Amino acid sequence: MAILEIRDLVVAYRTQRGVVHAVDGVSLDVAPAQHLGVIGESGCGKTTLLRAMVRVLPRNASVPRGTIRFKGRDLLALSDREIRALRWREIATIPQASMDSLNPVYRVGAQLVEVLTVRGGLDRGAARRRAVELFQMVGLESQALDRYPHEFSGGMKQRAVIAMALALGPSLLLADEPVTALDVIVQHQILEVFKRLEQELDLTVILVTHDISVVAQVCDSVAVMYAGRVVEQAGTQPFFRTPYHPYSLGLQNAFPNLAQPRAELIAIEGYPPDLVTPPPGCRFAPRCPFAVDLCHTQDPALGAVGPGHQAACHRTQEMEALRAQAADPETWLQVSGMEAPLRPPASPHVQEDPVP
Amino acid sequence: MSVQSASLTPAAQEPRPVSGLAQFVQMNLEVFRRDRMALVGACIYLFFVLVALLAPWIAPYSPLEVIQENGIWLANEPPSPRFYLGTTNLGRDIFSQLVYGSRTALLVGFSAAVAVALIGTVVGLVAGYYGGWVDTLLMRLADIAFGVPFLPLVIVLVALLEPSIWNIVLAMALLLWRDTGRVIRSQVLTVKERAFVAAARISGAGDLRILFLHIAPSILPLSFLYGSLAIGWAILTEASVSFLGFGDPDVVSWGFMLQDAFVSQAMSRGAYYWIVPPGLCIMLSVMAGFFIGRGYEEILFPRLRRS
Amino acid sequence: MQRSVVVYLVGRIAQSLLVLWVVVTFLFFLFRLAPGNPLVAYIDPTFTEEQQQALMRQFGLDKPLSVQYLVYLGNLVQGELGDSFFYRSPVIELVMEVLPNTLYLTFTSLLVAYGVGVVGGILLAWRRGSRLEQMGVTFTLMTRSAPEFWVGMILLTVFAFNLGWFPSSGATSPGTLYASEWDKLTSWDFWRHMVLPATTLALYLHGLPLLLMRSNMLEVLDEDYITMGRFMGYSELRLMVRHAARNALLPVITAMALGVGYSVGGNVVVENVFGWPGLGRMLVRAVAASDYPLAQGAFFLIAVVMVTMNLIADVLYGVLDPRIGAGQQAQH
Ligand SMILES: Nc1ncnc2c1ncn2[C@@H]1O[C@H](COP(=O)(O)OP(=O)(O)O)[C@@H](O)[C@H]1O
Ligand code: SF4
Ligand SMILES: [Mg+2]
Repeated sequence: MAILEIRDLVVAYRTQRGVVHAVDGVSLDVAPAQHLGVIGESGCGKTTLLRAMVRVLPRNASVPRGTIRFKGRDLLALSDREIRALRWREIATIPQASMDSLNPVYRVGAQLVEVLTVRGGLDRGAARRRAVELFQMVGLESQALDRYPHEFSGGMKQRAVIAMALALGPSLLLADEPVTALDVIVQHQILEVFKRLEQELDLTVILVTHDISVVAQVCDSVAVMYAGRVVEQAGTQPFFRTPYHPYSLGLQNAFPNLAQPRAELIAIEGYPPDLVTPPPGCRFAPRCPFAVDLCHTQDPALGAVGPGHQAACHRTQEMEALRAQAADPETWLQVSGMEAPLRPPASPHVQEDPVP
Repeated sequence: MSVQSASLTPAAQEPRPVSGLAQFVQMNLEVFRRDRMALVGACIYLFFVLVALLAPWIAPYSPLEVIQENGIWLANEPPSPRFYLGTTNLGRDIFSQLVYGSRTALLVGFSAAVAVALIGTVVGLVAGYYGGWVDTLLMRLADIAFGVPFLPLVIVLVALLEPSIWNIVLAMALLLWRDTGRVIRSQVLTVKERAFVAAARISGAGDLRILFLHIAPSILPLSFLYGSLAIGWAILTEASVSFLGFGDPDVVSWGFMLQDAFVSQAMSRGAYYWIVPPGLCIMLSVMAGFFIGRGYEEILFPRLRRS
Repeated sequence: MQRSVVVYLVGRIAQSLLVLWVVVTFLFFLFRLAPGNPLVAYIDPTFTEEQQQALMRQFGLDKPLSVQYLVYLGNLVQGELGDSFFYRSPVIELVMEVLPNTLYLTFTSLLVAYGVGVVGGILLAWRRGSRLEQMGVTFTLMTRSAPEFWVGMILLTVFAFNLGWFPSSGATSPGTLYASEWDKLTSWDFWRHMVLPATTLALYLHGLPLLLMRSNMLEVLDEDYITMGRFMGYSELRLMVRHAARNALLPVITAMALGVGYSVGGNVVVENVFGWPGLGRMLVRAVAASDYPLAQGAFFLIAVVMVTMNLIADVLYGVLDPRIGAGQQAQH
């Protein structure tokens, strides 16, 4: 029984250039205690997807289609009040910019106590005690509770935000690029904290990242997003052993590989398509070294390629051969359809801020 | 404080730089093309300028003329086709005074704006460019200027020297450069690190040349911003000083009219036709200054622009 | 208290004193170098030459300018501001007598203005892009552009002369005497007199906090910690007030302290419209009557209030913003 079921979800942004379909027909199932990693290049809609799950979207966003069921309740049908009651108690979020997510004018401990009392219903004394516990859990000194965010290092802030997220014992934790802004050593420490807590607390986690190695370390399953779609979904092991989407192949080439640490890194040429006018057919076609004519006209659907393994590609049957080709850097240099924009797509003009 | 308060730009924000004369002219045009309110502001000033220029033809009477009929003063006449806004208790035509008042307002407004913007710009340029003790000295002076109560100083100066609009302008010039000076100084500090300034220095340009040919154009929009705000403040200040009775008794201004109304019991008679129009004119011209200032602000600090 | 805080405070106070010194020096020379005999308004034409000389001596005007200046400074330090030509009593007593009235008016109107401004600013930011916001901003721009004395005149015409709801002049009804300052402050009569001038000032003063609060709020609402608050399921009210407003408020509070200083100077006009017996009206009357010692004294006191408020504004800012070093004294 899935704790979270997303069906055909579409999230659109109104911009001056037109409507951006940042999430375009995503379906996902997350089982209790699953640790799902969502990966994809920046701009493919990962953050939008996460924010849609708790309905904390920017003002110019709308959800024209789809359902999100959490423990059987349709989140999109809830009233503002109901969804608010659910946030943090049931679904906690570690936002993308969690470095700046602490209020600079309150002590970190006060912010933790605030959420414990206001959202958690504890009295101040109990909240204070719980705050100390939470800080210990994430490896922070209890004295740090009395400091202001600007007195924290990046790693400490990240730990504090994790402590906040765990404060009310949520059943689902959404983490958006939790280690992106940190240096490698601190990244490692934070991921260790994650791993430990996942185990200890029996959490369901959706972790969003553009860094495939993060997924390898802390997730047991993977969803790959490209241009607002999920293009491949699998358990972590099968995903790394036998990826089924050319984009996944490209991603694995582009990041240091734990199995073959010396392998040369190969970037995927070009940029993701403009989401105001996405290409017809497969969205990856303009950058895909394996694209055939069909790819440019017909959109491949997400289909099963193995047990619990799905991919959206016309050539999944030939994947064994393609994997071999993909290992050769030359393959990626000769992208067939060069209509892929070589500059990043013009960013939408207005980035407005969220309303509930 | 006063000028500063009208501009609500967070200090930390760095204005967008401009350089080159052509770009500068273009930018000024853009202010009015892009910002509708700035255009409205400019139109208001244009209107007052026309009124001021054509005053003798628009105004049916001379503003201080006591209108008589058969040897009787036509005092406290209500509005009529003959006296659009009625007459004062000395039998002077209120509408004509209003028309001539625009001359004083514009004269004070523009000359004070030029003085304030000029002094502020030069101080800011010199302090920012030379740094060191010059900078320290000028900025301490600015601190001091911030501590001096503005309107009381204007009153004292005008009363001690002589009641004239030029002394009002002088008082403004003495104090209000502080806001412009500070902002421009901090802008110069960033501009002088830019590549084109270094390039000019390498090619052997002297300090003055660099300062006025290379740096000044890129900070001029800021001077314009503070200048356009100063127009409004100058008009308000002149009005206040005249209202308090320290104005030039021979110069008709909107403040003078209101003082006249105040001491002539216009209020207890409910003579709105006398009280309301001059204040509206002051308000309009001050608002126009704000609008234009805002236009510059939005171009200079684009992040502030919001839907 | 930390050492750095003490150093900062001492430096800042020294700066305030420097400002005051420059102001008094400027004042002194301005008044002395003004054309005409400073005693001209005071000296009766029937006075004999000897009587005039005696008077000059009495006011110390026979000595060289530099000596006069030093004497003046020395007296000032001891709170001695000389005697009024006109009232023939010590200036310090005269100005201290009216100072409270000015402060009452200033604080009342500022309190109203900042209360309305802050709440209004939050409201407009929250309802951004709406008609309400447009109308609010337009109204505020109008009140900021309108001359205070004109607004006062209109309020007087409507509410004092036409409707007769409020008195037209003064701080107390003629003939009323209060046993103490406290009696006055708790009297109905005093506050009835306060309504119109305070409203006039507040109408003008509310613009700065309102616009400042609104633009700060818009800025803060874009911050990541506000989004975080939404993720955390905080109510919109809590987010607006406790999280956004608290941050947006810092510059507004500083502006308020500055505003006290500014409006003590700006009170001049309103006090004169409403015949409010305060420093501003005293200054105008003294200047008009060429009562130089009194004008100087009133000006000096206005400057003192202003400089003090600027100082408080600076220190407050440090206290309120934990990110600014000087403020760390505040809580521990
Ligand atoms: N508020 C917004 N208005 C318009 N477009 C937006 C907004 N936020 C994000 N986008 C666009 O939506 C797409 C997905 O963004 P996002 O979800 O942030 O991607 P990711 O988290 O994967 O980097 C991008 O093309 C981005 O430019
Ligand atoms: S469908 Fe075609 S273009 Fe798309 S990923 Fe598969 S092979 Fe490449
Ligand atoms: Mg993202």
